Amino acid sequence: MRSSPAPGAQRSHDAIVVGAGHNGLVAAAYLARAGRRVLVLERRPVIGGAAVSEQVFPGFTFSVFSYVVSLLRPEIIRDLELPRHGLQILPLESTIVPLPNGDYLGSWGDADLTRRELCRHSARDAEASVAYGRLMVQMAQAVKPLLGMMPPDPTSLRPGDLKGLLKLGRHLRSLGREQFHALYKLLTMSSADYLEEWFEFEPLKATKSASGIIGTFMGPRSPGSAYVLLHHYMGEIDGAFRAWGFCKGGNGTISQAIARAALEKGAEIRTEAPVRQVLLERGRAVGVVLGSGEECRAPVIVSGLDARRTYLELVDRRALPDELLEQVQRFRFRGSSGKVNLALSELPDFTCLPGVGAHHRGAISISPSLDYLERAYDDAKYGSFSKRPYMDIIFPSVIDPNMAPPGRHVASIFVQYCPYAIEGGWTDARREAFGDTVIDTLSEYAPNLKSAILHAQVLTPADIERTVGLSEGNIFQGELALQQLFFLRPAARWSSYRTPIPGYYQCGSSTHPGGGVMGAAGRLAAQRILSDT
Amino acid sequence: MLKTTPFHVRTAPLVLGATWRRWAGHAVASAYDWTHEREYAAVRNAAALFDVSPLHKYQIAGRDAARLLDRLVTRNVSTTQIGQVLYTPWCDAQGKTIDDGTISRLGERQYRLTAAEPNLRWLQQNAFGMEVEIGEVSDAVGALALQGPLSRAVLDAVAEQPVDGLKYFRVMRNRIAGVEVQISRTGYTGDLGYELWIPAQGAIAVWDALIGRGADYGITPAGIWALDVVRIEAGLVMLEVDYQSSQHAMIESQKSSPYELSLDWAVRLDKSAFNGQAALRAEKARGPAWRFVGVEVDWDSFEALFRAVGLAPSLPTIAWRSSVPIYRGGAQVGYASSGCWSPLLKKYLALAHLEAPHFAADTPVEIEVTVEHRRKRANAWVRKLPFFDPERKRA
Amino acid sequence: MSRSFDVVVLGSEPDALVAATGLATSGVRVLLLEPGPDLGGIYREIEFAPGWRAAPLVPDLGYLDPQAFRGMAEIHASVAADPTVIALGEGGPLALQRSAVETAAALRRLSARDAERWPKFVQQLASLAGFLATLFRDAAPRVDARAIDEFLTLLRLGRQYRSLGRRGMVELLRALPISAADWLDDFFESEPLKGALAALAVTDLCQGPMSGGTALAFLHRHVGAAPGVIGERLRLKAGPGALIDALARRARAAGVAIETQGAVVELSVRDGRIESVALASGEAIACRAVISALDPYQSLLGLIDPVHLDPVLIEAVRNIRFRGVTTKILLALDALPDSVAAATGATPTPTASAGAAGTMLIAPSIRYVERAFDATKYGRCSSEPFVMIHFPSAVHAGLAPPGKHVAVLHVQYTPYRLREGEWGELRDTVSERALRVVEAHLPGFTSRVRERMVLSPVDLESRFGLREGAVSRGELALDQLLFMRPVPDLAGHAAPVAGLHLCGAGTHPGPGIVGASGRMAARAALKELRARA
Repeated sequence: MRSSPAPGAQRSHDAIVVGAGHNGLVAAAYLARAGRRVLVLERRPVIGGAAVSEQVFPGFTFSVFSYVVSLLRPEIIRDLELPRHGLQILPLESTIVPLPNGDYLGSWGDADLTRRELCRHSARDAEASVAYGRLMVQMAQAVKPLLGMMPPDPTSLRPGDLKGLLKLGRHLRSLGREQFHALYKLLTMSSADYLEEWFEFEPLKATKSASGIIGTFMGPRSPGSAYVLLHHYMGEIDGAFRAWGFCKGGNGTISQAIARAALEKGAEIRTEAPVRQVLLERGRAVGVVLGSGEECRAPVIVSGLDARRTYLELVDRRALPDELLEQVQRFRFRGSSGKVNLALSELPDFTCLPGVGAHHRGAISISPSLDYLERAYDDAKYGSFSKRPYMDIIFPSVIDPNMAPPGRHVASIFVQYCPYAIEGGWTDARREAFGDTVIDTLSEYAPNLKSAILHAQVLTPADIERTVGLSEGNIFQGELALQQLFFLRPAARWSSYRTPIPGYYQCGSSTHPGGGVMGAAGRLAAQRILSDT
Repeated sequence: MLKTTPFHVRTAPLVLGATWRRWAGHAVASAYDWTHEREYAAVRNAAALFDVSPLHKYQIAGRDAARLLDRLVTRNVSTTQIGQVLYTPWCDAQGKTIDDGTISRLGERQYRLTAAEPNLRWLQQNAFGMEVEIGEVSDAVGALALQGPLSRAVLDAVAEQPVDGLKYFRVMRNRIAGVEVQISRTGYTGDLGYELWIPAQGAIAVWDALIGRGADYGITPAGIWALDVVRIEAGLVMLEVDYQSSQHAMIESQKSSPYELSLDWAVRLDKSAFNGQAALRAEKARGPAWRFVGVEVDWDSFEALFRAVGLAPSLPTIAWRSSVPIYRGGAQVGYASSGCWSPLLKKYLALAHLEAPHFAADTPVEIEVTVEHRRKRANAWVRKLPFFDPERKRA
Repeated sequence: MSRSFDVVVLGSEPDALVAATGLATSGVRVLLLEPGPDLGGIYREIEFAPGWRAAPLVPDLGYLDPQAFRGMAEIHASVAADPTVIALGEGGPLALQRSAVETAAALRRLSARDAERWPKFVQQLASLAGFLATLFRDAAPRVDARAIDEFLTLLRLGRQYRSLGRRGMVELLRALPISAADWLDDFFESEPLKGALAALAVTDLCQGPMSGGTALAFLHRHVGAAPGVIGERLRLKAGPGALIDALARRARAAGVAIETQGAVVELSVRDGRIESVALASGEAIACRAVISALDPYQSLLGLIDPVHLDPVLIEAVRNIRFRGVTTKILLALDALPDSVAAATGATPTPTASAGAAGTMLIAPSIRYVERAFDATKYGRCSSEPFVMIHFPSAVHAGLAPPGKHVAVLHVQYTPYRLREGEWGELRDTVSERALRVVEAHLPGFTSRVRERMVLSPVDLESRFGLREGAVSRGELALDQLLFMRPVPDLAGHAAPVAGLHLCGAGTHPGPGIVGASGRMAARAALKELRARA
């Protein structure tokens, strides 16, 4: 972004946003839209945090980290007029699960086709799937108001919080018994147990439960994983429930579009401007010190970084109550996923569906059974990456030909489990071994893969931490486990975007409603700031 | 690819206007001809041949087959005789309708259930603790509906055994073109008619035999458009058009009990325990809040609305399947869920859900009509169903 | 002339006896039917070798609901083991004593930090378990509470919640969904301590300590425990059978007719109402209500013609997770091995050793327990199980011939459902593995074993009528507790068939909380009888 003023120039701002991740940008855009003078400071040369598109190899553009959209709030798209700023989300409708026996399980954009495909494996599951989908829509509707809600403090007796708790109670009551119980089950069960109540075909259960483990350090049999299943079901494309999308130009386009919206409203964005510390005066946040020693001052400082950095690195811990420090210290990150981006001379030819076809326009999921996923988790539990990992693969160049030179392709491979805390620590050799494991595993389903690889980029949670700054490489800025959600995210009492330091706010995915390229935290934080100041 | 029926290779070349549509995941014809007029006429005048293979079919056999069906549906299955067919709705435990269809008793412990929607899971859930086999035979069995005043003559000409003795809602084994078939005297047209249940591999042979010998009797392949009109004339309710399955409804108010669908005659409260029994008992005592009735639009009033803007009335010759408000005394008292122009009766008919107490026969109501982009109301009357009920149907 | 009662109670465990007594006291004519020859169900002692007896499934009576046991002097004849738990692992035995100060002192050897935190831990445990005790005093709260007493319950809960204080409230909200491993990691660093506590958390659960919800299981098991005491609630000097004897006496005195060999084969229903119970003998006993203390699956799906039940409910009941994972090994010992005495710090004596009254626990680390659990995911038994050892004869000398001892090994994990093999062949393998583990920690132990009886989950099912061998009669998990136990629509202790009421461990408040469900079921039944009268 070229909007930096001359270095050293002291311009006064109403608010400084630390970190140009999507939530920081959303917060900045909303603040700017309300007439605030906003400065966004980004450590890296590029904006977007984990939502970036980069030409890692000439001619090949990767959505380096996050790679699909489903949760980006439609109200943000509308409020910030993101389509005018270049956002275009293309449908990513099918999911194909290649199976070890050479067959596959497919789900397509069309309900009849999906039903027919499911019937091939289990007629009962095909029926259950319809009922399940309906319940998930109801559950998503039940949870949606919570996503857009400022979490109340569950330990407070302040009228505002009591009102919030009452509103929450009323909402839950309004669901009626049946839906409340269904929601409760989703919140408390393991995705495996939950899905086993519905389905019998193993690859179907595994594939659905895979969305329940993404970005968490849990196996599908661990209670609490069913909720994440719903989190991923809440994806909306312009209001349409349940759909996954691919952002034209890669996920960096989302960041660019939000940044443009912010710039248009007068925000200023500086890259290569790492914030070393938040300046406190008389207990108030008054500005930031950059890595260069430069000071920028504003009465409002908003951290888009994760909770650990927001509280334990950017500010003097002595300014924080023990109660909060303790909660942040035990807030769990435990990055569990890696990413492999490939530049390809041709598309992988899947044994189960030979040739190039519609399946390349959707996702390929390597999730043949619950046991497969559990075994992958077992490896990670004891400190190694999965020998046979779960993978979610898309081919962005098929959907958006601009992502690769004509005739060439890019593949985006999300891999789990790839633990941050690997036995012995991450080294280049281990990263290479991890990349090989991914490619070997995928080659079993698409034998031409190895010969088609032109370049490969392998990212472990350690790389994600180092590059983007996400603690322990957790893509959600903290695990999406029930004890780290809603009014406990990132800490009870400090879940409403304020911090104990007046003038200091948080807006990252470490806050409610959590991760995914959703933007809701940035928007809610901006609302909080606008109502406070 | 959508699924195709076992008759597809024969029906596909006949679809002149490429008017394909979906029915239960299958590609079927709305009409074979460019319009459905001739196909409609065949139902009421000669013999129309509908491919109804997309219906869901389940084979239910075993010691507890009757016990399963009896706990499932609202009619009494245990007293059904071999060769008898029952039309019945079935409900959830709250007495709300899930689906409706027919049960044919094919043998001592053997039944076939037809359904509009997939019901395998529900059947299996109901079969807990029972000794019964549930076979999903939807794809294995092709189904044709031969309907119309000459349908009996056509069958007598092609079937090995005469069907003359086959009474209304009875089923028999028979043989056509060497293929073992079952013929039931049932249908969805309110006319004299039969349904043929044919193993998929024998489907083409039977089709060819029917079309070949039926030519003398004016046999006409007919599509969904024609079927829609005749079933409205016959006042027959249609799942996912006139009512929603309680298993698909998102909210309570989208569900209907059999009483609300005016299927009282098909609810036997005094039989052994079945799903929804207690709820239906209570509803019966209370009296249903809604009824499913016929609505006949007053022609003069309808015509006047069009004349006022200088147009002749525009007739819904293709039946509509949407929700149209019905008013009485200025307030909305219900909605019609399907409607059409009846070429035979020369009436504009609709099937409607009306709230108590507005559902009594011959109650004057108003129905919304859109005339030149503006919403108007035409006078109409509540009518008892069916609108059309020829004696030949049962005779 | 056929017999007729107002209420027939099925089963003879404490909840059944409490329910029967409660009703009889209110003037209702009650018949209690025990299917077997003796009263007591799992509380029954079995003679597993000539002269050696044990009640292997009830090493501890749990929390006796104060209201249900009011005025029963017999329950005061208890023993208090000290230490309650002796964890055997690296660095020598670790004794968890009744006094937090002494335990802390013992812990100092392992970790000064853990020693310092121990008092805080037991204090938090007592406060959270205390909250659960309030929660378990009444019928589970319902989201759509309408009745005034339900509101009062909610109100009292709210007050109790507030009384936890800000910190306590946060800890409670956090402890409900979290895994025992994460919860314990937040407090402690020494593996022997965490391993032992983790094992207590997952006892009888088909979950590992890294599974969500297991911290709650730990809390649940400590409802009613004396403050600071780990792993023990109540043990009667005369053994669990004494409780049954006392309850049966009280029931008879109240006018309850008690019959053994009264196996019920069907509950006859007419027009949605219980009409009579049919016995295996062919007798039909007319009644207006039935209270069943059998497990909910058996009560509903085993005894009632399914045509009387909503298929949706049937499915929910079928989905109750039982999943027994425990094998009990009953050992007749010549003498208490010296190593046992050494571990307890007591000098070996030929008579009962007070030290050996505590539980010995071999679960050296969280990972050890988790690895043991991993096997069950694939339908196998742990190759290195965790083992708990009780010496019931140390409390109640009459269980073994003079000078001899009884040891009961609790061996986990040994799943009821095996993917490969049959329990018939596996019993010896499991027993050898368990004894190998014990021998490694208590040298010379095996040489003292004179006789043994192995009760696999399959044996527990056939011998004690425990579905899938689950002592819990429905796994203790967040989604199977409170208003979800046994299934949402039956949580009020009333079944969908008028006149049928459920109680026992399979219903709210769950296993180890004794008498409360019987009391609540009796109250519900009485209310219904009076409403009909």
